[in-house]
Amino acid sequence: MSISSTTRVKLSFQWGAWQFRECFIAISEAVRLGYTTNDELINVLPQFTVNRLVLGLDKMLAAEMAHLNMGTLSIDDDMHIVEALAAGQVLELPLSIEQLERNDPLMSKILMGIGVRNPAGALSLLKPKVEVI
Amino acid sequence: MTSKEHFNQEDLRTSPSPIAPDPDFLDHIDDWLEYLVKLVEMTDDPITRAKYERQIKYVLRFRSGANCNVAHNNTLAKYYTEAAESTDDASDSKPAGTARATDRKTKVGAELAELGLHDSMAIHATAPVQECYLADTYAYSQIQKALACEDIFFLQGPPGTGKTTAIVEIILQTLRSKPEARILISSETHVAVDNALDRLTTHLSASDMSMVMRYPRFTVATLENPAATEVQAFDRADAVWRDAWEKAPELTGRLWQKLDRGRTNSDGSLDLPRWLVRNLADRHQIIGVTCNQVDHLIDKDSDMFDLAIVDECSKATLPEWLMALTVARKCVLVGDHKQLPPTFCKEESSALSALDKAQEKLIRGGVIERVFENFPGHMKGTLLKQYRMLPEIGKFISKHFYNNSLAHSRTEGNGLFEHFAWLTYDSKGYFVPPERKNEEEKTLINQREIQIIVDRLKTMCEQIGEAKAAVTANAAAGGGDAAKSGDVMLNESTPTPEGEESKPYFSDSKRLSVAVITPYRAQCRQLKLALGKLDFREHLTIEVDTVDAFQGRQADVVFFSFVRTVGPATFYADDRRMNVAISRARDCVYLVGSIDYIRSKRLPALTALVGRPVISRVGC
Repeated sequence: MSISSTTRVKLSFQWGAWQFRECFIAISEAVRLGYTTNDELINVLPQFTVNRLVLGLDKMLAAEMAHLNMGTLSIDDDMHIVEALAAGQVLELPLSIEQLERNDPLMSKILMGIGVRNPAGALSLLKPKVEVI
Repeated sequence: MTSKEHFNQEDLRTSPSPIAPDPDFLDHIDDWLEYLVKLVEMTDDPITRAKYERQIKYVLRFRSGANCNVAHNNTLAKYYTEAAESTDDASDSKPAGTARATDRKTKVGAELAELGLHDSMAIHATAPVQECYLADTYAYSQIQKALACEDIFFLQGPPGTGKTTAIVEIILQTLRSKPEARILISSETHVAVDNALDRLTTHLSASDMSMVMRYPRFTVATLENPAATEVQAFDRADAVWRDAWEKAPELTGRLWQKLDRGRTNSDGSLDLPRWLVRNLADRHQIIGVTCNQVDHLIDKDSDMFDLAIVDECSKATLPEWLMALTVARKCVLVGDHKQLPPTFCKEESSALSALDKAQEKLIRGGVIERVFENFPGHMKGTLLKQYRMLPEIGKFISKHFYNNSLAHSRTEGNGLFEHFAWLTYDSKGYFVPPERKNEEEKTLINQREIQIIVDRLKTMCEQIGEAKAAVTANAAAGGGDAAKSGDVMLNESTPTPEGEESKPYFSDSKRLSVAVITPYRAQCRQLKLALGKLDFREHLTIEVDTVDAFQGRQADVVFFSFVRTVGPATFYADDRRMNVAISRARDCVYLVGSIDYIRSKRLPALTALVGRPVISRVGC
């Protein structure tokens, strides 16, 4: 089926592992405020169990949104954009759904276009949603 | 001809087709899934729909064997279709470990446990934790069986036989044997969960209380242990936020703004956010929650439970108790299939009627009774000594609903109101529901019975007032006189040790609990209106409810309003409803109804009730 060239789509994102949403946000905020070791994180985030903090941090490290250097944690700048996107920031694009769906290279280009340096990492934490406007 | 038409023409008491095999447990689960999907389609309310969707999720999980212990699936599937062999049944009278199959399983389990490959949930308890079981050795033997069971156990508890005490004993013994065990206390109703958890906390030290959580909060107005309120999830959530604030105020302030803070309900109350509930649940070892809310605590990263106890399981639907069973290695189902089965609301009933009649019958009937009958002796037990009712009421319940198997403990009541008798009236020319009205106007409200109840309550208040005045006068006179005169307020038969004073039943602060129950909602509403206008609070605590809603509760005095004076007695014809209605009483049952109408019905339990004495007859 051919798509008209004037078709526009709405690209939005949500957390891929929604049950870790709060954990990701809490870890990011805590590390940004200077609680950069495992013990400090566990101490200042009693709302979370150690198990869930470890799982959340593991996902962030795997996505390279958090970095561990000599036992000190830091959060990648990309995480700000990832959080904003997951919070509901919408991108309107002059593309068709078919062009965007299951097209990671194009998705990566779009993310790079809005300033994400590590789009693959961002996409491992985010789940894209495409809708026709 | 469709299968539906086929079933419609069949008498459901017979098999739908001579060649059709009996449905097995998986078929039954599929019937439930079909029904739940219909409910989801029919329901507009998003919260109710989410509840049904959760049930579908857990039923599917169980059906596919993705539950915590697959032995549950095998056991239920087996005993749904076939009864245990007689040799295994015989083990009922022997110690649990004597059955051959159990022996083999225990041996293998023990060997694996020695190698560190299996953490058996079979516990061999010797001495009871609660002192009450030193005297009731039979009840303790049933608890020992439940503890010795590896996977699933059914404990039948007729009215007043101490189900809650048994639940507490099972938990305390499990903790004694396995201090790290995670335990889920669940039920279809909040009240049952509250009662079990409240009672349990009375046996825990202050430090042990920190491992208990009631989600979301207690619903009963008064707790046996007022300190138990600290285990409510809301209080726990408050505590962690305060802790975080003390350690890192700026971070906590930011997180408070950014993280999900939960949903506000239509009544203005706040729900805890799921992320926080799951973190709290991970931290607590013993959790009390209704079956339908189990999913709020659990996700794929949660630790499962070692033991789940489902109280009032016969009142829960299959998906409800499966939700608790799915998340635990061992499950103890506690209930009584001789009491009321699950109730289905209007919407649920209309979804049921869209199914085949055979499916509807199976779903309404539930599987609890069937499974209990079929279970081998070492996997089920019955509590047989009742501690609630005075013997006259207890013996009636035992004779008509439990084949005379119950023993009775109490011998003394309040001294003033210990009847089990009729407050009747002449119903000639008085029709309830009214005749010559259309269906909508045929409301089941009986004003004559309401008046009888009100009059009796007034008399009771006067009598209690007099009794209390006599106690006060007696105390002022230096005491002892009333005791010598054999005053009705005193527990006369209680032997009073020398030097100790016998305490009168009715003291100034004492209020007698009264339950006014009826099978019909319209009458219940009318009773609430009528009694709401009067003030009996000085001497009585009155609860008004339907029989079905009152299951699981008790009162010193019970008024049962029959309502009907004409028409079919479908509601009373159900033995289970009559069992629940009468067995709520501790001391006294007033049967308020037209004795002539009840006599005309010629139903076994009702005929026996007709034989009870008549205290008053209005209109003769």
